[in-house]
Amino acid sequence: MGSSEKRWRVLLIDDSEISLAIASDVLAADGFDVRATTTLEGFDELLVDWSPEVILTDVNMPGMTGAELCRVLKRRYETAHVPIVLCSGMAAEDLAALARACEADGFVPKSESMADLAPQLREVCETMAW
Amino acid sequence: VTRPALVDKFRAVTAERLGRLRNALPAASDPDQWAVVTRELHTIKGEAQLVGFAHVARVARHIEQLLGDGSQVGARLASTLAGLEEIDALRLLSMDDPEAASRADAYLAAHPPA
Repeated sequence: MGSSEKRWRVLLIDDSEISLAIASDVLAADGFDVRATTTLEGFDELLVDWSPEVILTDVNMPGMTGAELCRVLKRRYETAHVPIVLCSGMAAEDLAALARACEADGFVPKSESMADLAPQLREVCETMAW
Repeated sequence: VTRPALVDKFRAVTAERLGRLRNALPAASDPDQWAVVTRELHTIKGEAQLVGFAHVARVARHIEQLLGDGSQVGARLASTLAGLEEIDALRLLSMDDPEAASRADAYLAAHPPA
């Protein structure tokens, strides 16, 4: 991370603790300010108390899918402006279609090492800069 | 997070996921239980790839293919359960153990896609 790069506050939600741990490490190492949770309850608390600048959500989760979560947040006045990025191991073309359908602001395929996660998320953040 | 810690975590959570899979499979004609089956398989596959257990990911993907869209769950249940037993055994093995990958390959050869 260069000294001039913004330290984006990113909130992660993923029911996989393993995926969450790797993604958190990768993003923190790249200069993101990261909070992460495996539950919707934890997500709601961080959303209110921490005010993330971007949300990265898994797609395939129990209780509420990432796409459903995106639709809900985009219809809330308080969160409609927060960029939401879908992250999944599903095929990239399917993920792109799902992101369009649920009005997500971007998508990042879950690669094996998540090596591409930080630059792709940073690109989304900078594209969405307000 | 250190790699050994991730591997330990993977083994622990995979055991839990396999338990949920076993519980859900006999009732997989129910949409909610089918959702559990597909979600757990999908997550095992993804987590296995992330921690480097490529052979487990291959077996999980193969079981997904065996199950298809769920319309033939009953007919495919026996081979699917055999696959789950194989994953259960594989999870105990280190990714550096050559036997793990060879057992996965043997399983895949014995259970060709429909």
